Amino acid sequence: MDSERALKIELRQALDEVLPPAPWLESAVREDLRKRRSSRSGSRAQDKPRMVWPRSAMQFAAALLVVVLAAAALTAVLDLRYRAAHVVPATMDVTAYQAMVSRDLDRLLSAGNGVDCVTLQSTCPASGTPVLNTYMRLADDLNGSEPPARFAVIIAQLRRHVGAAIADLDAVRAAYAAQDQTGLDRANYLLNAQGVSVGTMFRSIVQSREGSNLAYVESLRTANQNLAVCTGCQPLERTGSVDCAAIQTAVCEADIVYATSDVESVEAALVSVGAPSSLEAQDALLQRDLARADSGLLAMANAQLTDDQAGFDAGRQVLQQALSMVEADIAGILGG
Amino acid sequence: MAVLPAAMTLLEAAKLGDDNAFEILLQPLLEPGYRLAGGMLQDHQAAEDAVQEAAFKAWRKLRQLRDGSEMRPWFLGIVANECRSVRRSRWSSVMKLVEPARADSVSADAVVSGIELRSALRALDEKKRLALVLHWYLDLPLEEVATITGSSVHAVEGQVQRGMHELRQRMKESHG
Repeated sequence: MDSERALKIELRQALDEVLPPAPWLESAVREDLRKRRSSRSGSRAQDKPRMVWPRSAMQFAAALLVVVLAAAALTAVLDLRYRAAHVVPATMDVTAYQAMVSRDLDRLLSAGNGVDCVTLQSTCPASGTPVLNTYMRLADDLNGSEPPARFAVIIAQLRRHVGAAIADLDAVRAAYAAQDQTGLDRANYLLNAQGVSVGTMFRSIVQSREGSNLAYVESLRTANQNLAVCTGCQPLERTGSVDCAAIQTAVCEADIVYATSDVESVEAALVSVGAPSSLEAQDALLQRDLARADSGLLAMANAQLTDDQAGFDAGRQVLQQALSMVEADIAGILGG
Repeated sequence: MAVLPAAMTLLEAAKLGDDNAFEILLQPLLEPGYRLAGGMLQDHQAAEDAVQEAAFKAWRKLRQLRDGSEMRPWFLGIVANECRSVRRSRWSSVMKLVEPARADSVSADAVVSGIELRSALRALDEKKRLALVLHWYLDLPLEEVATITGSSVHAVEGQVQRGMHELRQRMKESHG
């Protein structure tokens, strides 16, 4: 009983340590409530009758929206491809590259995650545009210059995540146009996760510095704590389908997002505290295998959007192979 | 524990659209809500966001609170749900740039022990973590924890015991 009490006291102290008093919380909540009450989206749905548009008008508007957005997306994609194919990228030094990425990170944080079109009643046509523009700008920056060698692997992954975020925005619009709330939820969920991935990776580049042997190993050890117990990875790694038997279940989506988060923590840690020359070779292998695991998860997420079971299974196979190699790579570095 | 008549009056007023009444009812729940979210998320900014979002949802759903029900377990249930969403959405982690500064007086051992304990708590499954945070950190009786989590008192008791056992195991493992 005494040891139970001691553990309880320790737990309280441990949590108090990360939870400073928040005397401003009350006024912040009150202010937020007042703002949101006065906004259109904040009204209590059950209190007021909702204006209902004729179904045919809604369908026409939705169809029109799809055509306009499809044209915009096609133009943007063609433009991106053209630029990617025709611009000869210049190599930037580390400091200049970090400055560019820092500006991009600021833009991303200002634009938000783009998860605004959350219900079929939202004013969706306008939402998502600032974020789409931001992602386009990020893609431009990433394609327009050759990264320093230190960032080569993570930039390749970033390009994939930015592409996936743009695809998720398209999926949000398509689901809205089709008046498909489930599809809208799924696309928003993945869009949000991509925003986090991109933010995490960008931040690791901005903070990047070369570490000592000790700093690198400690940074990796800390980042690996979550990956070692990666609760999202376990159902995805098991042979045969468990949680993800039906690939479009919420549990399956959550597993992918959790696993992605844990894999990316390690990817980001390797960039934040760069490897000293004595560990460069092992670091390169680990970065490569983490990138494979990340790509496997991306493939699974994209397959969910298109209900592509074969693509999902292929992504899962890549993930399974990569994770076992990642585990061995990390054991090699931490044990060495 | 019965709801006080005065509180019932406020609750009725709040349900009828009196926003001041709602704020009066909400005010004493914010601190436990913040501690719950903080215990679950271990990040004070994310905890503040979760409470803010939960407050708005509580306002929107107030009419769903059954007559005679208490507001605290109902609100803490919303906060707990919000913590699940925050963990899923993770956008807040992008915004989190600065770790809270630790007091210099805390010894290195205590810091390490705190880190290990928080890490062990994070590794628990969500039900056990929630039960431990509510019962141990917020000091709520098992009956109220059961109401918040939608479980039986017996089940909550089991979760607390198993959670405690797992915490100890993990702490032992981390000490080698």
